[in-house]
Amino acid sequence: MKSRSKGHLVLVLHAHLPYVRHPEFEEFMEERWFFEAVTETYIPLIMVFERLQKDGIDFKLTMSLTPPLLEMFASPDLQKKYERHMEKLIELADREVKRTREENPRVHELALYYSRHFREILDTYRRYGKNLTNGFLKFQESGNLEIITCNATHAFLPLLSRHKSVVKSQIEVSVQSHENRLKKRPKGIWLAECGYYPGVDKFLSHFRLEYFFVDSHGLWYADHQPRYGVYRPVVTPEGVFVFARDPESSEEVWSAQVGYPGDSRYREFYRDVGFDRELEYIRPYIDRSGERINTGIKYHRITSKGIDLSKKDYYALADAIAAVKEHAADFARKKERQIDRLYKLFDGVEPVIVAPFDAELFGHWWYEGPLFLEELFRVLSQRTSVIPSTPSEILATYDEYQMLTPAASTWGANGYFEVWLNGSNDWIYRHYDEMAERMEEVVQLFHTPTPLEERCLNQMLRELFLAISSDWAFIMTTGTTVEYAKSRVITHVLRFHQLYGQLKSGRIDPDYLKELEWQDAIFPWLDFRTFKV
Amino acid sequence: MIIVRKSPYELLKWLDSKPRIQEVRTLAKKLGVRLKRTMKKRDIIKKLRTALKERLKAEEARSSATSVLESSAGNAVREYPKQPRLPESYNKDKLVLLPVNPNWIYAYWDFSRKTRESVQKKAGNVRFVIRLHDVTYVIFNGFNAHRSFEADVDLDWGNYYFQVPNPNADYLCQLGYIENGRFVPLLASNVVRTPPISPSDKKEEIWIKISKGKRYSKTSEGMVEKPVERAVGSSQWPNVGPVVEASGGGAFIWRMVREGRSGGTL
Repeated sequence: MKSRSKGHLVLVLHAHLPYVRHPEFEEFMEERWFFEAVTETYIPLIMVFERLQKDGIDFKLTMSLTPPLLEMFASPDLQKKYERHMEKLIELADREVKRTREENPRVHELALYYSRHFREILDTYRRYGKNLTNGFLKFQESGNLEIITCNATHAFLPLLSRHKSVVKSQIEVSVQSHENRLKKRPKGIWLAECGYYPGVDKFLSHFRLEYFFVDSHGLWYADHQPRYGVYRPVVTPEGVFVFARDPESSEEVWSAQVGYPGDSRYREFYRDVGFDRELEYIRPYIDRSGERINTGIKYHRITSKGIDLSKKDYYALADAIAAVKEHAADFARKKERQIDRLYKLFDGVEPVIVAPFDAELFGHWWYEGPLFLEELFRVLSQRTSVIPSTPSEILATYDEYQMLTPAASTWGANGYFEVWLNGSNDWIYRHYDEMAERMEEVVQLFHTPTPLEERCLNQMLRELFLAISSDWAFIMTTGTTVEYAKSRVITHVLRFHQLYGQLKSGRIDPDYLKELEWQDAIFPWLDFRTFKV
Repeated sequence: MIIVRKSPYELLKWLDSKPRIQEVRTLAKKLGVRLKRTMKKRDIIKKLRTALKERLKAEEARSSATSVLESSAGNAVREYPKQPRLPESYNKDKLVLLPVNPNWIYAYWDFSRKTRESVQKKAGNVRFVIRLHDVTYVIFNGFNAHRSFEADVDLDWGNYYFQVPNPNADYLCQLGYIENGRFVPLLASNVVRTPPISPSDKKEEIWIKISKGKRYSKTSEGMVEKPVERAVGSSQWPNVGPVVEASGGGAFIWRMVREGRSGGTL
């Protein structure tokens, strides 16, 4: 008899960037994080969705679009800067087309590809009114994409749990931001860094968030053993559903040794014309200081691991696409086998495989990543045992759940909090703590604020929120662009204290306040009262 | 050079460090200072100095208008430093514990002026110590901890990392001194729980039928499939640095064994 095993595959992409927006500068190097992610990840994903829809493939994907990302999508000055950035990039691609005509036919072909591709990216950007939220919304409406939220500024909640005010406001604002930008109440939430601690579910339940995610060991070490391991959603005593990450799926995709992105045919991240071309030629397209940076025009493939960067061979699109097809088929086969094995082991209970990833890894790091997802959905549409599903669909299917309290956990290195609390970043916590206490104090003190005081209080909360983004602590740990991360924490803490001093002494400087409202403009509608517990 | 919102003060200092002409030009552009093509480096620097000094003045005027910051105690007055720096103390008595992972806990502290003065009087005559108590499922009264640990500290450190024996346990700490063989506490902390690191040994499962809102329990036989858990280790004894003197046990490796998180970002 043929096996009739079946189960669900929940693919989750967590799309997030810290709020990096410097309207006071014409160009700002760290704003390129956003530009690169738009060009290499967000738009290519939307283009994948468009092609799948056109071909009638009913794909199912879950994405968390974090509130800072939604704010940046909607920011008129970042939109203007992005267009200018792309126009410059197209200009460079065109110069490359001319230049490579004599150099090498393979490179020339790639230059032609970039010149076409960047135009397509920019066209797509404009087609969605320069706000990519519209692009994602389109596929939410078609039922292919389940968009969920993330706590307001991606604060790492397990280390802020002492302050209920902070946790509560981060959750409440996550819902408000989502409703504001996506016109819909979010059903689920991605807790920043998959950072869960027992108790946070109480706030989720209060704001009617139905589900969240934990890393595998969040269920393995829960207060009761989960009968089906990470392969079935469970529910906490607060009534919030929990999906847990499948360790196999992430390992298959990302393992340093056998993961797909390391294939020799894929594009090499570290060879870029920004570094390869002579300075005089490339100068208009790199940082104004003359510091070389990645432009996004890359002509080489990984070739082989450990080989010197200068020895890398040229990239060939057709070969890369062949690799994508192999890898998508391989992944689909592995999921089929995994589901078959678990289905039998569970005596006919359908396994639910949850595979969450950072969205920016697809496209930005793994250039062909979006194509891999496209191909995967095409392959899966031909099979019956692996059903791509969203969490809401799964919760609507089943009626019985195991109830337990997951263990405190994250998806960071080693699974706990040390990425966000160690010798490189521990100094930030005393300042976070003081800000939280001062904010709690003034929220009590100013229950009937004047309009100016109210603006000051709202701005204080913006500064607090921006200071506590988990990104800064993370960057300090990883050791790249540390100065920027430090300066962001320091800047927001000092601005917060400055406003606190002004507010309490009754001498609010309206010009200063106005400037901060312009520079740190996240959540224009923010109401400081969310900080009341 | 990356100009990341450096203060005028820092930029003035930087101009003394023999910057290159392109860097100086970049700074001028970012500050909106107009230059002529023919200008020499010396002239550009001169012009930048004037512009930066003006900015500094403007900033000083702004911060002096708001330089009085009151702490919530209402008695402390501190001058805002000209050069943007975070306060070294908030002049509050505070001892905070934060869990790092199942085997490590981080403690940091701060003092009010009053406490700091009284501590300074004791310095040299007493031994300052930090005590960590395992208070799992007890309401701590000073004497009923399951276990207590003590380490000598220099109060100026401002923080301390504890290696602790038990995951999934509650800890509380006290900062104080030993005088005449007696422990005198100065500050007490919040309670934190270390994350668990093993599957539960409870023998029951709780299930709920959502449509009926009905809960029921079953006997637990553990997970149907035992997971292969993640090992934490390294091919070499990790270089944990001078802060950590303890040996054996503990998952906390300062140098991350795995690079980045779920594959890294940016």
